[in-house]
Amino acid sequence: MKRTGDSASRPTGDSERKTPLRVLADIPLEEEVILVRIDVAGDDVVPLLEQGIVPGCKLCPVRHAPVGGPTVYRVDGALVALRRETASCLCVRSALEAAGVLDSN
Amino acid sequence: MNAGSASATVSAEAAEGTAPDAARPLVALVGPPNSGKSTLFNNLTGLRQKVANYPGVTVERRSGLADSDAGPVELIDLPGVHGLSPRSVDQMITHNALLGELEGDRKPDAVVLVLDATRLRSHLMVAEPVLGLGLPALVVLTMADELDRRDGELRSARLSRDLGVEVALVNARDARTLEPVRRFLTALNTGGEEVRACPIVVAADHLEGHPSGRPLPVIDVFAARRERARELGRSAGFKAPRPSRFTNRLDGLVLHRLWGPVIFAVVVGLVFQAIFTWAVPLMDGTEALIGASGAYLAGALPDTWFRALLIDGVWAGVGSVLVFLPQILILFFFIAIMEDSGYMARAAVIADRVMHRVGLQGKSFLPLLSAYACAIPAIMSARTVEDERDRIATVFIAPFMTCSARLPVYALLIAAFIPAEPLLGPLLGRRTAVLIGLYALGLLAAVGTAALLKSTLLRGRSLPFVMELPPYRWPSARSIGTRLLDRTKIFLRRAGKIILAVTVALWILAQFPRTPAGAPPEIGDSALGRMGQVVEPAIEPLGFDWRIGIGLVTSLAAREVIVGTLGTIYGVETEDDQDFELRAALQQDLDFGAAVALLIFFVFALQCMSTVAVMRRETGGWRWPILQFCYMLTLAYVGAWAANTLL
Repeated sequence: MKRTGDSASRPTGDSERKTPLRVLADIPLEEEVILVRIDVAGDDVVPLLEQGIVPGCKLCPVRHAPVGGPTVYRVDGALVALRRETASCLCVRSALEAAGVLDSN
Repeated sequence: MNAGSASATVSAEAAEGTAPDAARPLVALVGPPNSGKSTLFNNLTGLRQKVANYPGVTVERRSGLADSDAGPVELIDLPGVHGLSPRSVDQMITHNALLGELEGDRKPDAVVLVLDATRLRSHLMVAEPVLGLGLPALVVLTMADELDRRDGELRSARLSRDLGVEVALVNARDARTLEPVRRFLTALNTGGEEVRACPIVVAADHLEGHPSGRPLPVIDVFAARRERARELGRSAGFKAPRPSRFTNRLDGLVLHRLWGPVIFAVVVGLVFQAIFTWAVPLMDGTEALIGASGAYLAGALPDTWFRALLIDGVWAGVGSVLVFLPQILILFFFIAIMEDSGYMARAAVIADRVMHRVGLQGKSFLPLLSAYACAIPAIMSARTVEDERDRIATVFIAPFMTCSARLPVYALLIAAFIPAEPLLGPLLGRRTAVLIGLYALGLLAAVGTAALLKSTLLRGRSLPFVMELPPYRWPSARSIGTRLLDRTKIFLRRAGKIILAVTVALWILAQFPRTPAGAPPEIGDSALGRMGQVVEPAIEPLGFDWRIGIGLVTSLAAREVIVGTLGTIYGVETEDDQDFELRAALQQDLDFGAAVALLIFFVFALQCMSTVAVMRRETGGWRWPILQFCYMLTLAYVGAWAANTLL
């Protein structure tokens, strides 16, 4: 998957300047985060957006699939599996840190 | 077929006969996958539905008649979509169907938008582009029972006011909750006030990727849409239900790092066991029924050319296809259970890692599993793979999987040339080992071809792998029954036509030119025999003679035809066909190297015209099927030549 610096980014407020962003692939299980930016080029981002993975949404990794497969995330009440390489393109911030800056789900 | 399904077929045919009635309101059912759309469709139409293909593609067009108090309404169940961007075949069909731009279809008079109430916020994102088209609409929120059970809340009347269209909160499986839907369908016939269009018509450039408009940056379109969907949810007092404990617990087992792969292997093993062992009595029964009915007909008709054509051509041809129906239905029974229960998505997630290594993805798992029964439904089910390159690669390699049509050929040759001796004591015999080896060879060819394609012709960046895991649900008998009925009709229509035509053509070729006395010729002198002699020089290096040549030519129509053809050829040549044994005849004609060469030829060659035809439709042209045919034939020829030379 081709990554891009700012093709799918949105301004997210003051919190972006306060703490560095992390990528979703590095988030431990059960830690709730808020999606800040998607580093995926052009229309390749559409499958993510159509599943509700849009900047501002809450994501929570709930389970790793066996044999190094995709990770299952809770998104807006649904369960969605993403490969590590896709999750590495999603820049997130802890939901607790972002509280008060971004409205919650 | 029992009496119940016979009457169902009659009803379906009656519906087919009256379906294209322009005076009858046409209503499109639209919604995301797993929203309960098809369950609602089945509940509204019952068995008065039919399945066809959209022109030019193999995406199925399911339509049916639903009752209302003011007469029937025609419903179309459009493919499940998350949006209307034309990035996949499914979404393009839905988009074009709603705009009335689909060849042979009129523009719907209204749309029923089906959304999962438990996922209201994300599913409402589909509402904007669909309702924005300005068609009279009803929004059906399904899973009302689940929302209630998991302590979710929603004021549907408020949502209706905000959207400007009727909103019904239902349980799609429970007909008693569908009264608002029937009222809407009645109002369509009577012009009632329930029929309203959403007052906000979305401008063309809000439709992402719409060819007529200048699209906004896609991320902004979705971000704004999500914000509006959330606002609608807030206004309607939507309280998201708590996560399903049942799904969570079951996922703990099904996706467990140790038990997950074990359960996966058991499920796949169970499917194989069902296809290859449990299906056998049903297949034997079908075969016996066809044989008995053929014998009855043969006895009832006078001995003319017409009887020979009907019994040896039509009956034998149709019979050779029908015998695989139980196997295919058993496969689809398991697939339906796995899909409707929610397990299939988990299986795709587990398989993704391995599939990714050869350049494919987890969603290719289902088509490739189906291909072990038959490549035709496998190629069709590959449309669930959204990435076009991955879909083409999946379709291309599906015929390498050992389909059930290869089994009769393998069984015949293995029994004739491989001794029934133990290889690993009582655990594994030589014959079983050879059969496993042939399966493994096909799989290896598929994997190698996928890797080759993805690094050459289909090289490029892949779309992100995004797989929604629906909550586990009990499969409904009605939904499974409807799907099996659909499969039966589709299989008989698609495969039957081609094989019927080819077997009739072969029979005619074997009958001419007539001898001076007006009798059918010896097989070697017939047009069919001459065809075998024409190809003989080309297949001589493989150790085959003209008889096998005829078998190979006829098996181009369908692999299993070679068994019947060889039976006919050797049967015709041997006068005492009562004691005739095809195996013994083959042992005389083929040496061991040539027999292995023939097996290898069948592992690789694409001898199935139905597959080629479906491939052409699915890929939208001749380029891929021609390439696939030539590639597989080359592999088959080289493999068989090597086997004959080395052994």
